[in-house]
Amino acid sequence: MSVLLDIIGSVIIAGLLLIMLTTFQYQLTETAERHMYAASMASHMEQASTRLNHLIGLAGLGIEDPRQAVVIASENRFIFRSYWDFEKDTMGATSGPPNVLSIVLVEDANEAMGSAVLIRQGNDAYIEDDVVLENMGYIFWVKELKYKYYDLYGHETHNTDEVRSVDIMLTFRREGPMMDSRGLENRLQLRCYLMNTWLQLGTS
Amino acid sequence: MFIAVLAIMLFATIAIVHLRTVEGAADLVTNASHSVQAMQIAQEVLDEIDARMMVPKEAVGLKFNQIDGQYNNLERRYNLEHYGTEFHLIIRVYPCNQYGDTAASSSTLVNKLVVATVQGPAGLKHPVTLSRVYTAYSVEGL
Repeated sequence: MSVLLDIIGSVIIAGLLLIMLTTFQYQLTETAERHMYAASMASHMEQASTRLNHLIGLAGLGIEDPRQAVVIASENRFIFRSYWDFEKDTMGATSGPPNVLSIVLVEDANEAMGSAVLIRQGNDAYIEDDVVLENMGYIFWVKELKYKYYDLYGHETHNTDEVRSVDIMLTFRREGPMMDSRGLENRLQLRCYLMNTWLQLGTS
Repeated sequence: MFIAVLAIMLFATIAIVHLRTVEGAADLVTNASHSVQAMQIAQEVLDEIDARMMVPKEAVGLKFNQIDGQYNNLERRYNLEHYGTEFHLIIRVYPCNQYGDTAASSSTLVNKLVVATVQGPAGLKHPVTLSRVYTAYSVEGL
């Protein structure tokens, strides 16, 4: 009888151990994959912030009156003028009208990757027909994008004439690595200065 | 009975090792996210100095010789509503030569090295530091 009990007991313990090891193995795999996803997300966030800083720093380049640099400054879309050609990433011709750049979140930008921030260049405030920049036109995994604008003195403003810096609030979201895992969500808040409008102001 | 106790000890050890690994991975992820945000704050304040130096005639303008007075030992708290946590910024200004070397001969220390250090919530393992060298060059007269 006692031998039978010993056998049953050892089978139960061995079974529990096996279940535990399998569960742990599954969890470790998921953790490792989430870690890799998160690392790529951190790198992606850094690249996105660098790109936005670069683009907004060139707002108003070549526009003599810094009050004319910003076209639309709303909570979810930022559109500005610049003589920089963002498509070729070089200075554009200053004889014609300036380029108009828009940075807007689009919900269904890509079937596979969902919403994305689209960076388009055109020559008027109607952005829907503008070309998305070839090299840096998409910032994926963005769920939310909000802007806040500030004037020369750091006061919040909605007047396009006064905008000299902008707070960008981004929420990044990516589906988890496994079918049933939680999505990865990260937030980032950065302030970009429209450096060329400051420079125009200082030299005019 | 003895075998059962041994088995429980084995289970417990495996569980502890596993949980520590998972926690460690979560800490690294949090640290990476905080580091990116802290970097943005440090960059923001250096850009602020750049921008203010471009408008020396305006009320918010900043001249080269005012950097020490307005930014050395400056501390700011950034309560980021969207990000959801608070960061602490400390700025130090040092005289430096054209390469940013603060220990060079004193006659060559004509520039200013601005060092912005951001400390964050507990998840940020190390403070993030960015620095920039400023010269007496001015946009006035361009």
